[in-house]
Amino acid sequence: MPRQIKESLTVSPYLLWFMIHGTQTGIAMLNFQSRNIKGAQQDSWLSLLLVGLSLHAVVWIIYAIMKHADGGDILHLHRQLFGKWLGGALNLLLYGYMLLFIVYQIRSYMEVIHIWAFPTTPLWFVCLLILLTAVYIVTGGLRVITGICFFCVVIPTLLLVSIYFPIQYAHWTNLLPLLNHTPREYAQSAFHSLNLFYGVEFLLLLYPFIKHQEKSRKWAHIAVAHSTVLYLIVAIVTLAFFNVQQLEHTIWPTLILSKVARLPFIDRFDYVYVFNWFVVILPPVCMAMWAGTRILRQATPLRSKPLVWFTCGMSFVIIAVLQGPKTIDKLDSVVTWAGLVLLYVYLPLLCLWVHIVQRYQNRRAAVEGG
Amino acid sequence: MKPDAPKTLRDILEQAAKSSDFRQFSPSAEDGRIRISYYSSLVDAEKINRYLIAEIQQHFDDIRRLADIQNCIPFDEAEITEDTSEVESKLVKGYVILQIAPEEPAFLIVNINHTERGHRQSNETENEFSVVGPKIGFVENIHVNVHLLRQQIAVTKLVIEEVSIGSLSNTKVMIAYLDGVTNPQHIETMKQRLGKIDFEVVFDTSILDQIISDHTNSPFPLFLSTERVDRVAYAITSGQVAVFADGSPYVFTGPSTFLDFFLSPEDYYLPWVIGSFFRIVRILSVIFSIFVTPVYVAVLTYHFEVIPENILEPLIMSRTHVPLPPVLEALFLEVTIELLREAGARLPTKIGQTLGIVGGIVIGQATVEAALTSSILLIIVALSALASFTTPIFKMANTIRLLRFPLILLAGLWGGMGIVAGFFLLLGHLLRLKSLGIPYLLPLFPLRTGNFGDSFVRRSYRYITNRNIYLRPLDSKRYTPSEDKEDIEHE
Repeated sequence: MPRQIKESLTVSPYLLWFMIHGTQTGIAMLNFQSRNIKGAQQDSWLSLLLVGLSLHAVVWIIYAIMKHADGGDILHLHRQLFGKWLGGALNLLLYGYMLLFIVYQIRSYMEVIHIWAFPTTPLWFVCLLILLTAVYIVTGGLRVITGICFFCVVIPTLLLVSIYFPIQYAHWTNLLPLLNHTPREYAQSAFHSLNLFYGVEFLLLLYPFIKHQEKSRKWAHIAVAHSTVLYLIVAIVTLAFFNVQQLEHTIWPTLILSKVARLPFIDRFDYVYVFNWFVVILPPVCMAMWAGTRILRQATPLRSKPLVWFTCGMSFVIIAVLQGPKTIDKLDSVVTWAGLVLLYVYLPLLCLWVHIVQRYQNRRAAVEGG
Repeated sequence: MKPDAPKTLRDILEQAAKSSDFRQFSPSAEDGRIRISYYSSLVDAEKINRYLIAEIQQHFDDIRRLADIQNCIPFDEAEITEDTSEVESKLVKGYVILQIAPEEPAFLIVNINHTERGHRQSNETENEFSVVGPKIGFVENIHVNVHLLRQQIAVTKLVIEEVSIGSLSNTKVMIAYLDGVTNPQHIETMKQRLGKIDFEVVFDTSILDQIISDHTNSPFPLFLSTERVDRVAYAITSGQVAVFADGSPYVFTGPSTFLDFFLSPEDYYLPWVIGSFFRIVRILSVIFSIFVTPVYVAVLTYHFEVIPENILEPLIMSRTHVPLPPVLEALFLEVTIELLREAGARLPTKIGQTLGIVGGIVIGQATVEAALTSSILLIIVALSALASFTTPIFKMANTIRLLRFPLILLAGLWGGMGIVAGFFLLLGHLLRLKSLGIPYLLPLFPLRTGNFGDSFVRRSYRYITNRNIYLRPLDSKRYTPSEDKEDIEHE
């Protein structure tokens, strides 16, 4: 039976909705439109939808794996299946992925901040603020992170109202002709929309912290569906507002879209978006930092506080090293590949392996018992 | 003598006799048999003369034993004992000791303390005033306070338990709760925490509430302390625990949530539409008060692009001659307001009013004319100060005033991002806090929509018939709403 940790530390299953959805929405939401039109062009929303649906399968696979984890999370499972050394190495790889996740979110956001708000401020100064905020939240424990995820979903949702402004100028004919692309082109678009959905993998570590684990399955699916619907709305509004050629030359379509808004007391509405994106990237950064700390705690005898600082320091150093104009694109493709391998290759294989091992053990137990 | 050996009555009386207000005498001069000992500053001298001494002298010839004295004097709290362990603490509370013969170990101890002496008589709510509703507040006397509470909640379910805290003050501390409603877990936690306290003199309940609070390193008050009787009575009926201490006009209740500090009893006395409106105004004004100055600093330092053209012009006009950067300008004005408030709080009312005029009008006008600040910032800072005073609970109002300073600094360093980060640091802090183990941000997080009828708004009494579920009361039903009035009219 899957193990659960002390009940006072667990969170209600419905909060999984905010945790997963909050972690999925991140920096990629600012620029995914100009990437995923490569291939399916005005039909890219269909690829988005398909990726969203495939994520439900990933959630299903994660639950199928976690059912067999005696220690409750993926870290124990790795050791249980592959022994101390190989399991430890896999956990370390996972730690690398968490670091990559933090760095990707913060570094990409810093680029936006740099261009929009602080062209002269050194980047490490901006990065420091984000990391320190995250450290303060993560040292509060999972309950605080969950709370932050909740507010970081509720507050940006209010901004959704502002798509009213671009819709006034929408050319719905931009979406036509419908479905005139080859499967290969759809696949290409789908590949570029993958990183929008990364965040469900944290379920692998969150699992033992959830009350009534079986009931939580519903909320994980709701979270993924919520993300899919949200991205579809943004994608369709963007496609209706820009034409494909325009989009190809726009780096952050969501921000350009927000510029349309005109209010009597605020002139450049995009600034609200830029700073609001701090709210959007906070859950993924906090969640990845928490997950990284969990992984290190398994491997070392240290307490969690120094490990949070260690993870923070590592991220800071990596971000400080990553300079140069092509960094964002490279990071983007590295993250996309890493997530693709983790979610669509490794997890299905792991699921298969877990079930084979389980069946073998059951048979042996049956033989020994009989 | 060993330090832990029990003191004899003689030791105690000798120790006490070092004080000049300690008196020992015999009521009859010729025969020194009966000795009376007490602190003259603590007892009611009139009662001693009129009843105690007079009665003893009248029955003098009949008195053979201590019991004879006990029978003839008209005091309830009198007992004959040989136990000297509690004599010392009783003596300093205004008890009188009567001995019939110096060599006899038994003695009579009578409570004749003067309860009202030195206490103010007026019990108007001075700091938590309300236009509508009762104006009775607590005073420094715990018996009066408990009496006031019992008048409001007149059922035997109201249980009041007593503990004594303070190694030097021996202060009477009382815990009040509604039996069968308040969750026993809260009562137990409160009793346990109060029982563990080792402190010298308890001057006020706010000392206790700091000692037992769940997080000591937080600017936020985790228990709600109030001087209003109606507020405490309402908290107790909602399933909270109230703590009284002798000598303190403030009573604190817990577990409290962040939102509790922004509710005013008037919300319940005014019609629900108006009550709700003022409640929303109060909550918005807190947000305004914390964030408006930092936003000014951030926008003027880094993001002037967001200011619309028609506002930009007057803003530039008022700031042309200001030599300071916005962050220093804002800090200067905020500190000035803090000075005015702090000075005003320490001065007598009449001088305080003068100070308000001098500070508010003269200094304000002069700083703008001297071009130390822009007039727009002056308006903003004055408004935000005004907004911070709408918070009904003084302790929370102080916290709100403090919060803007780190936010102004963050805004000065990181602009809009600093404000957002500051907001989330604040949120992260609030999410950590707990009051008696109950999350502080309830009912927002963890989300409990069941009692939204009485949180950000107050709905009509027909709909708020239940107690807050997050306090986990044993009985959640408050009352049954009366029949629909329209039906009555149709009949």
